[in-house]
Amino acid sequence: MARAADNVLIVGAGMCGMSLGVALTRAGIACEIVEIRPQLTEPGTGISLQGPALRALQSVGVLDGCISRGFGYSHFKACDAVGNVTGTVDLPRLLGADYPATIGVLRQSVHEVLGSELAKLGVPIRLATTVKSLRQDDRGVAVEFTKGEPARYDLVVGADGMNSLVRELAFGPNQRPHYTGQMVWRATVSRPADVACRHSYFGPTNKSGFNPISNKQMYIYCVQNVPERPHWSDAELPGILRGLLAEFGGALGRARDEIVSAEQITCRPVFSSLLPPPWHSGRLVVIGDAAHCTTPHLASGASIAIEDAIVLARLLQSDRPLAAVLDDFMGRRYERCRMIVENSELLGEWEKNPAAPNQDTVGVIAKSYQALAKAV
Amino acid sequence: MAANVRIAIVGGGLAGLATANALKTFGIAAEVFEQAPQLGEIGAAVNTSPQAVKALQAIGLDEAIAAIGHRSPGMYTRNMQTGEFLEFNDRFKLAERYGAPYYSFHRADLLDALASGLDRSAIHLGHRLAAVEEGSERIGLVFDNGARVAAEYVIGADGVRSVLRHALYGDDNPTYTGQMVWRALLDAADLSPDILEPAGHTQWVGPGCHFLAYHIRRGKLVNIVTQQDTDKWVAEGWSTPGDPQEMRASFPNPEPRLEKLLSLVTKCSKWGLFTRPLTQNWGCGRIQLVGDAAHAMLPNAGQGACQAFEDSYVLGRWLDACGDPAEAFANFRRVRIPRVHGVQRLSLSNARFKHMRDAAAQKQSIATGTGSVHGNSHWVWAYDPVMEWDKEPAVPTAYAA
Repeated sequence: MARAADNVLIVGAGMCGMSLGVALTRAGIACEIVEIRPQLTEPGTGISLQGPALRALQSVGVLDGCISRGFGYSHFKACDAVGNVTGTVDLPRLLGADYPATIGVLRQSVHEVLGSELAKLGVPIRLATTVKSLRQDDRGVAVEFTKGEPARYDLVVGADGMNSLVRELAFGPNQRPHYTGQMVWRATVSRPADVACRHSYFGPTNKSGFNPISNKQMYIYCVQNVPERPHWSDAELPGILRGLLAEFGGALGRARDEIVSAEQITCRPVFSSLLPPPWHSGRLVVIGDAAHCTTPHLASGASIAIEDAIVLARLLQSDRPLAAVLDDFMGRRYERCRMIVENSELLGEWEKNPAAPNQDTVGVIAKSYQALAKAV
Repeated sequence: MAANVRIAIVGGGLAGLATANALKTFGIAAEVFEQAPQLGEIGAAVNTSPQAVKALQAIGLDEAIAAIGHRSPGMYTRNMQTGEFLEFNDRFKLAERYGAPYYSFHRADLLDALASGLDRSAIHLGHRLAAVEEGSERIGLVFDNGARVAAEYVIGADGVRSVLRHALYGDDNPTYTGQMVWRALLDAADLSPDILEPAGHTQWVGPGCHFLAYHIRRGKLVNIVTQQDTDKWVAEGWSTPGDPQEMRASFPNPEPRLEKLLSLVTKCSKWGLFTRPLTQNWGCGRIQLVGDAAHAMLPNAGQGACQAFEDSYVLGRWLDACGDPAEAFANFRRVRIPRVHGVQRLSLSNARFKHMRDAAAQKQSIATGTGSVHGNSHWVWAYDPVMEWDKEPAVPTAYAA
């Protein structure tokens, strides 16, 4: 039976691209991956993966590997500025009683798990390589690479992140994400033995908290309002973050004193964007952050990116024409991703403007998670 | 060779040799046919809980097994990532409570002990069963080496891939369970004592996997056996040589003791676990299956060999009690099937509990007494084959049909 695509190029070996590589290969569809970075993983800090992301990783078949490298928990604690617990909230266990509701894990650990799965499946990955040009005709895409021989594919998938090159080649340069006026900080510190779940601290001016990511480590997170995008040097970072956390006591206060080096820290401008539909043009399609870059306020960027990969791999197994499959993909993905991107950005807006009317942070979070809990 | 025998036992593994010992105890002659050119098997370890030890004692092996069995103080269960203590299963207390020791054996030692009580001329090596011809009076057994044997009754102890089972029931081939196993054997002298503290017998449980290490051969060797959920068993056979690096990578983020232990592994093997669904198909008429041929199970209750030993005593006892072996076989199935099915369910449910992905919930469950890595095993250990061989066994509701 002829399938919509038998030979796929995936641009980008992030969580989304690698998940797609695994899912396609399991479905018997040949694919290869190019990645612009010279290595698959890079040092970074932690990430929190909630129910929908865990379900997506389970469907890719790599969940156990991620759980065993990370730290699972099923509730979070709200604290005041000095660490008194003001409330404990149970998180929904989307995968049943045997699984934690959420895990914290080093981002690079997830990359390692996916990378070793791809290696086992024998999926070719070319590092330090990306596409130079894409030329479509009615039978395929001719691709030139920055390194190596040109080749032809049935489909090219841009899973190349918020600064996607494939998106630019397919839809022009005007779709880049915009800076939202916030900076997000993450810093890896050691995990005190009694920290067994996420803690959120509500200070007089800032909100912060930490997530355990392994037996030994946790990461501190903090979102900062900065109207104009700043450009700080590495040397300044520890001091700035410690300043932001100055108002906190308790475990967060103690952890703050461990922040001494820029190597522990990632400080990223918060971007947002939603590519108008369709996300495909002929035999090119963009997925994950390349199509919908969300702010971290719902911690759902990885969920919807990996879901994209799963849904696309599932649909590509059909014998319908590629154009119909990609239309179907849009129909299944657009609304869900739009909801997450817009609600995340709205939560950020309310953080920046506490005086803005009709704020319903709790309601928006609850509604978003409810929608995301539905299976794809 | 063409011969007539009354009772043939096909298979000279643990189940077959134990059955031969049991029949001998009751004065019943039998001939054993084993495919391998010599007795003995690749070295895994075997644990026997008190009720199975009672069965072995009752078939005359008390001293032989006491001489080679290692008595562990008990299994100490830890979290794989944090090393945190979760549960201790005190085997000395269990022995006291149930009136027989809990032993760990090297499999080859145990096979030797089982063979030591038998007349070697009644053990025919190099006999791989190829075909079974069912007649009205006799069962014809055709072996690969050309030998033909006509037996009045046949006991199939030929393992999970039983040829007799296939002859009776066709293709109910064992299927991969979604569980794979790493095995390794270390010299105990290479381990610093802190690794297996405090009992010399540790089980680490983690998400989707567990890891067991304990002393055998009177503390000279350390047996390692692990298990993990994985849909990826692609090898043709059951066991393949393993790569220690790959084994280590299967247990990421280990606590320091386990990390040290893993670093000592230089040779290992990889096994897929195969079983079949619970079945009443344990033989009929003149043919009776025992051990894995009848009831292959996951190793999570530590009962695979134990149930074969119970089989052997109970079968011998029924053959002694009934004039007609076919009637003894039917009675054997009546009393054994419900109990063994209960043990098979226990093993399945233990795997699920040990492999919980939510370590916090698992710990809580053990602390509050609502869960255990051993499940509820007391009914298994409390059984006394000598006193209860003819009784309808009690199986707790949780594990009953």
